[in-house]
Amino acid sequence: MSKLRFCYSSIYKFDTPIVEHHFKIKCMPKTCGRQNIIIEKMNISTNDFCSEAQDFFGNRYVYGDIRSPHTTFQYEIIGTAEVNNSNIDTSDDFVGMCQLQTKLTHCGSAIIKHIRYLEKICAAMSDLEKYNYINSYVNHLLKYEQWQTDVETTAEEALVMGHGVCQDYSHIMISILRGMGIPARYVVGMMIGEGYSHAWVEVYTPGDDITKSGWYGFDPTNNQLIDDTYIKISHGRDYDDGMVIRGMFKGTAKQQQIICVNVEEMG
Amino acid sequence: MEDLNKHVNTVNTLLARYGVRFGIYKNGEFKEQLFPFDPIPRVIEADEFRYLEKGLAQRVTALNMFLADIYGEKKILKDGIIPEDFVYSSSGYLAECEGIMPPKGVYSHISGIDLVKGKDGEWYILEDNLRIPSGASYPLIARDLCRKASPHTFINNHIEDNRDYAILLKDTMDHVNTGGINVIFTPGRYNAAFFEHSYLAEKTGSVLADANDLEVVGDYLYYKGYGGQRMKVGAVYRRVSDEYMDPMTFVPDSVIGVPHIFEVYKKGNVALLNAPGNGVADDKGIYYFVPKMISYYLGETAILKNAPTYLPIYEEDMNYVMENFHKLVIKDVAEAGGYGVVFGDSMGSEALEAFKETVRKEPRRFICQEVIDFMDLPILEGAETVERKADLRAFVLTGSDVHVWKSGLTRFSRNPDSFIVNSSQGGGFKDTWVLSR
Repeated sequence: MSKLRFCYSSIYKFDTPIVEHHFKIKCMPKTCGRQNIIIEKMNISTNDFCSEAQDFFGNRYVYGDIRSPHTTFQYEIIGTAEVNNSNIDTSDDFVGMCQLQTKLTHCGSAIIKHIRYLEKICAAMSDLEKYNYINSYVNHLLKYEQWQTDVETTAEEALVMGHGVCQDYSHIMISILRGMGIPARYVVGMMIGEGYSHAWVEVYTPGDDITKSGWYGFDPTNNQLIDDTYIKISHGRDYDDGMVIRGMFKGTAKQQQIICVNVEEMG
Repeated sequence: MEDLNKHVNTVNTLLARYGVRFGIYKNGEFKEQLFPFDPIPRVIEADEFRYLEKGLAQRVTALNMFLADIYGEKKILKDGIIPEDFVYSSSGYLAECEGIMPPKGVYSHISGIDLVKGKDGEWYILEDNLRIPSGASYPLIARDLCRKASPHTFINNHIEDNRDYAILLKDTMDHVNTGGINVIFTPGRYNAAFFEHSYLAEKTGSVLADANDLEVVGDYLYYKGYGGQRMKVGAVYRRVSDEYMDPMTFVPDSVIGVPHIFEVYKKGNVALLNAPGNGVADDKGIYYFVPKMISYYLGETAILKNAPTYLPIYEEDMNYVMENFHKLVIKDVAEAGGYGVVFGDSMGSEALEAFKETVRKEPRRFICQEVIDFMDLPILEGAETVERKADLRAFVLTGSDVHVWKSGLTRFSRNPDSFIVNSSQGGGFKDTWVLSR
């Protein structure tokens, strides 16, 4: 078990004033089996209204409007987390849905080739061995490189390009797993030493005599298992479900975004 | 009845003057067409309609229960009646609607069920339209004009008055209204059915609004009046499709949607008619399962039959389809409005083989049906009467109870060889008379 303090903050700067700005922010971790969250502070730019809701996966978000002209928008969430990753999520909600590919995880011929190969290699492995094997297998498929891919890059495209970021690693791993008939979901969260938000994968196993059924976390970007240094924010079918911020406004401004995520162990 | 024939030109001229048009997009260009009216009505006897009424109400009741189940407990999936992936991979399924119970639990408030009468005298369901079925305004205004042109036709025949549609629709909105005004939310002037939106707003005393007239403030939806004053909205009969309704939840670059409207709906602070996510129930693939739904939810046998349908995902059906391809009609489940419909017998052998291969590769994408030899109806062409294929769209309104409108939209194909009657494919329409005795 670990005790962590986290701070998620982001600032948007617009070079000319914008109006009728609608926003939706999904970056509040919530208490669940593996983590106990206390939100100490949540600040959002002065707004006309702001309200809280949950999406169908149970992820929390806030949404609202700023109507009058403004050139900055910022939000900040500070809190603490007690994490015990051995308490996995055992619910089988939406397992069926997480078995189906989405537009972002859809597999083309490049991914299918790996699926065929992995099906042979992993045939005799137990579920968790298999997931672990695929986790490090995916880690070796890509070279970590920023700014090469964007939020619309699909798993197949990233694989063909050969480089990407955590989002691409996760999409590829999910695509392979689903292609093998295994339910997998996309997780957004924070981890010690990352500086940004992070993405990883949770895989479902129906369990057996030794293994508890439920969702197990893997981090293909760092080739490791999820442990107590990770704080989970949300999960969904793919990046789109976990999108941290969504917004629209009137204006022709160019925007600049600074994100700062900090997680540290509490003494 | 013959008297009406004399007035056909007058009625069509008046329809044109009232702006009864149908807009279609062709090659990215918006064109408006008149929707040609044929004066010879489809006549449905009182007994026959009572039978249709029972069957339609049963079907819509089951479909509403299915929607509540799918976005709720999912019993029908857990019991293995419908395969799970059929639901989740349907383009009309919206995960965003999971766990949301619409006001009063009604999902499909206005249902448009398309039927045909076979040459065997039996009625068959062609498809269910539970999203934004349009067309009720056409027989409504046509009847009005016919009554003016030939009043005694309606005195001498015992025809059910269809003017109650406006009252039915208003009651349906009032039933689910969460407090506030009723609004008809239109995508705007360039929508195919804009005439209908404005006509129904006028008839039901609702406010016709586009995206610029509506705004979310806090947890409620408001209509912005001309003077800048805000009026709270309690029910929205929205004619904007699910994906364009709220750019903050669905397609982000939609300019015909209202940001955050979905959040207000989620909190139960406004009713949306029809409920978002209904597309999962009128999916062409799910159609196959409707009779099973009726027996599952209601413990009854379906009164109205489906056209015999095959799903290539089932091996047995796939074999049948491959052997009988030439005599089946193949429908792409993702397409609507008569697009993506192919008749096996209209294809050359090469095209046929290629298409078979597509079906084999993408079995989930298609449903295959027997071609129903449906009854021709007489239409007037110049001074002559000719026979054409026609279907019937029946309107079922669900409020405090399920009500089948005693009229409907009869559409016919103008092309003597065509079975496709959709208005977007250039067909015409007739009034539908339900006899009162």
